[in-house]
Order: sequence, then C-alpha cells, then structure tokens
Amino acid sequence: MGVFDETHPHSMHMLGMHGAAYANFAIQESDLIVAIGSRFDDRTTGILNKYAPEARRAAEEGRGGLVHFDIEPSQFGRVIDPTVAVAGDCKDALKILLPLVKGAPQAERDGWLQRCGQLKESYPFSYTPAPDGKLKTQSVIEALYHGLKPVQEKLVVSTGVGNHQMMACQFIRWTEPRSIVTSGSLGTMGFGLPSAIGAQVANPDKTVLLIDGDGSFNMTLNDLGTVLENQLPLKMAIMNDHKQQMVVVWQKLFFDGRTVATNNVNPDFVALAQAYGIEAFKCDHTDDLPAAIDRFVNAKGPVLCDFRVVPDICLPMVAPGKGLDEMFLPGDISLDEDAAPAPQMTGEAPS
Amino acid sequence: MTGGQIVYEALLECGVEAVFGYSGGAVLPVLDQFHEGKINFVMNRSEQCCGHAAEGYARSSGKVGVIMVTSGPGLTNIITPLQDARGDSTPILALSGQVPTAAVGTDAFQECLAVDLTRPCTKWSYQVKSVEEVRSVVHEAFRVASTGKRGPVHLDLPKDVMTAVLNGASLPLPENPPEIAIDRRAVERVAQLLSVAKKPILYVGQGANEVRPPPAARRRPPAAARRRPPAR
Repeated sequence: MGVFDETHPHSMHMLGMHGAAYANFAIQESDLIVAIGSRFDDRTTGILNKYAPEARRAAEEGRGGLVHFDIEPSQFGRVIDPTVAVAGDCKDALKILLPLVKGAPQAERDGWLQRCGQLKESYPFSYTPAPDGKLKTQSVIEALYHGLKPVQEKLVVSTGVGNHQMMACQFIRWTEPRSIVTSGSLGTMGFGLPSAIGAQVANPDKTVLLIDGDGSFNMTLNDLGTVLENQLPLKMAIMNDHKQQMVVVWQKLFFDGRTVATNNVNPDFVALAQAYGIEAFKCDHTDDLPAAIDRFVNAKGPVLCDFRVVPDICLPMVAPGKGLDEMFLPGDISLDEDAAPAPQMTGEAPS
Repeated sequence: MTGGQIVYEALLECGVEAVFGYSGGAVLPVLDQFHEGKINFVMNRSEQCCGHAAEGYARSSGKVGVIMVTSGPGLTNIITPLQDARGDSTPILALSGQVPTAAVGTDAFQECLAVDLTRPCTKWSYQVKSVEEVRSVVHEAFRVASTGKRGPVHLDLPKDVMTAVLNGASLPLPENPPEIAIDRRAVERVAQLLSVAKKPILYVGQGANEVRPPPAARRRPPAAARRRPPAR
C-alpha cells in the first residue's frame, strides 16, 4: 500500500493477519519470496514455523528461498534467516540486479501468474452488508473510495488504529506512493487526526482524508483546534460503532464473550466539530449515503462526518498460532445475534 | 549569534519548511526565533499531536518531520510519537528545551532526564553541550534521521546553551560516512534464484519508497560526475 500501484494486475495487495486471502495463499505457495524494504513483521508472517513452507523447501534444494533487501544490515535474521541478504539502498541493488536476471521459461511464469489470478478471483475482500439499510464500516469506506476516485492521484489517507484501519487497507485500492499514513508498527490509537494535519501541511494541494474510529478519534480530538486555526480542508470520516470493536471481537472469541472497558460513551461528534466552527453532519442509513458522500467530497473547507456504523468482525483473520493460509475467511465467523456460535479459539489472544 | 539563532539558521540550511511544536519556558529562546516567519510553525493542541503531525508530514512527503517542545512534560509527551516513528522508519527531528545546564539533575521545575528517556526510542539522542557545536549537531541529527534506515532523532537543548552567544567559529560540519557498496555477488545469487524459481513473489514495504536526498546531498555533483562505472 502506498508503494506499488495496486490496480496493476500483478499486485496481490496487503498480506498478513487481516490481509488478502489471495496474498497469504500466494506467499505460502511461492518458492522465492523477495522482500524489498520490508522486515517480516509478525503481522505479515503468521506463526513462523508455518511460514513460507514452499520457499523454505526450495531454499534447501537450491531453487528458491527467502531473499531480503534492506538498507540496515542489522535487520537480517531478526525474524527469518534469509537465503540471500543484500545490504544497501534497494534502488541501487535493483539497478544491478535487473540486467542480470534471465527469467524462467515463460510457460512456467504464465502458470504462476494464472494461479495468482485465480486466487484473486476466488477469495476477494468481501463482507456481509448490515440488515435494515444500516451502515457498516466497509460500506462507508467503499463509498468514500469511489467518491474520491476523481482525485485519487492527489489523495492522502490517514487512519487511526483498529478495524477501520484494516478495512481501509482492504477496500481502498492504493495507487500512489506515500498515499497512506498509518501507524503500522506501534499501532498508536489517536494517530489519525494529527497525522492528517501534518499530511495536509506538507501537501496543501492534495485532498487529505482521515478515516478514523470513534475510539482513536477520542484520543486526540483536541487537535480539531489546529484544524480550525489553520483552516485545513481535511475530510474527517469517523466510523462510529461506539466500541473498540477489534478488541471486543478478541474478548468475544478468546474470553468467553466478557467485554470489559471496550464500550465507548462518546460525545456528539457533530456538535463537537461545530463547536470548533467545522462543518459537520452524520449519516446512519444506506439510503442517505450517496448524498452524504457527495456533500463530504465537495466540501470546500474542513468537514467531519459521523458515520454511525454497526460493529463487525474484520475478516480475513489469521488467528494467533496459525499459519498464513489458515485464515478465517469472510462468512466463517459472524457475531450477529442470530448467527451460529463463533468457533472456539485456542491459545492466546493476539498481542 | 545565540544558540537559539544558530538552531534556527541550521534548520533553514537543512531545508526545513514546517515545524510542529508547542511553547514552554525552557524552549523560549529557540521558539522566539520563529518570529521571523520563514518557517511555518504549526501549534498542535498537545505535544503528542505535534509528534504525530510531524510523522504525517514526513510519511506523506518523504521529508524530515520536525517537532519542537519544551522540557519535562513537553518531552515526555512525545515519547509515543518517537517510538511510533522508530517502528515505521519515519524520519523525525525532535528538539526539546531543557532547564539550564547548572539546574540539570536538581529535579528543577519541568526537568526530566530527556536523553535517557528518548534513547531507546530514537536512532540518536543527544544533549547539546556548547554553543560552538550547535550547528554541527543539528546537521548531524538531520543526516542520521534521513539516511540509512530512517527514523527519529532527538536533540535536547539546555536553555543556557540556547542563550549563549557564539564568539568565534562553530565546529566544522560532520563528514558524511561513505556509502555502503552493494555486494555484487549477493545480487548475482538473487539473479540466479530469480532465473530458476517457478513461483517468485515480491514482498514490498514502505522502505521501497523513493527517498528525497537531503538538501546537503542535493548539492553534490550528479551521479555521472562521481566516476561510477558505466552501466552494462
């Protein structure tokens, strides 16, 4: 995301714990994983003894493995033992590499590309729409993505941390470098609003969209004062389910449904933004969504929309202790009241 | 020039266009320089917000994000953004005010052990010792933040050093370390694996994004003039 054009047919999109099922399957089937500017973060590998079985086999047989390009040599071997490690600026390394690559027989590569294409078709990102015309975070993000498509080349998106963050990664197709600003490693709730402010200061000509959760927004909403003072034309979309829903899901799955300290009692975000002199409105129904998106996208100054969404589970999900290809897929788990009971989880909840 | 003026001039030399900061007693001699208005000083509503704003600035532009806070709570409030920037390899320069050198270690008002607190969550943290070294240290901090595996750097600025007047010359600017040469044999091994693998996949992260060279590097001659061997 925010590096390679995800609309390219060869792009397999985000991998990992809540990543694309097709990306995770492809990693597990690949015989040569080439890491460039990435560090085998635990959220992208699943449990390590089940990670990349085919690539490890290929490494033993001298026909593949795990290759790691990194500018910082101390990164090598921290998570996986690379078959080959190349230290230095990856741009310089790739300039040397490209003329040296002869390429496998085209027929073999065509087979692999076809397999990847099949995986993409078979396991798309999806969700179950909410009943009675209510909104889900995924449906709002899809609508925001389509509404802002005309400015996609000049769009920066920042997020908080939680389900809304993962769903933004899933339902936006990222095309431009540096278009996503999110707390990927530390997972800092409250990162969204101030980082959006910084992105707008750096890029006065771009559209900056904040996709935030109500929990994350609560943590740094005092920075609405900075938006007001500088009249930054931020577009602030709050996915408001009155919960810290990612943690609620873990409490339901790993702690017998006992929810503690994960329900949010929120202020009226619309009134709050208006107190700061910021245009604000709410939207809680599918019928009203097109008009709300239209108003939101076309606002000239700062604007906030409080999207009242029903909570959901973020799928796919690689549960703790599982390999990347052992995901719960969309439809496998539902937390709706009339749904089948959720599967019994074993082991520790995610850290 | 005072230490505070030298900090400001060094920021200009390093191409800084925006700083995210919050006022406070110990940082006043540096903050006062921004009266000139050449650098956009954005005042977020808490120091943590300043830190995340600088991260958003850096992540979306590739430039170094600069934070300026006061001593004590100003500094402790940016620990989370600094650790966040370390985790996501975001180039950040954090400048904090500090009580005068003579008061350091006395539990003075708004005093904390700033560089000790930021050491684990930065690439480099350093308390400036003299007005002579201010310019050199700011340039070095910029280089550390923006080269290699990019990340946060913290400079702690005691108030007496910021009000001291420079008599004579600043220390010379630090030399850039030599670039790491790519191990050609390792690259050849990768090429060989790519030639035999049937199902290769690229796993690409934010570290693959183009990095803008800092202004100092931009003044160097173009690559062709640096006697690189011609591309084959």
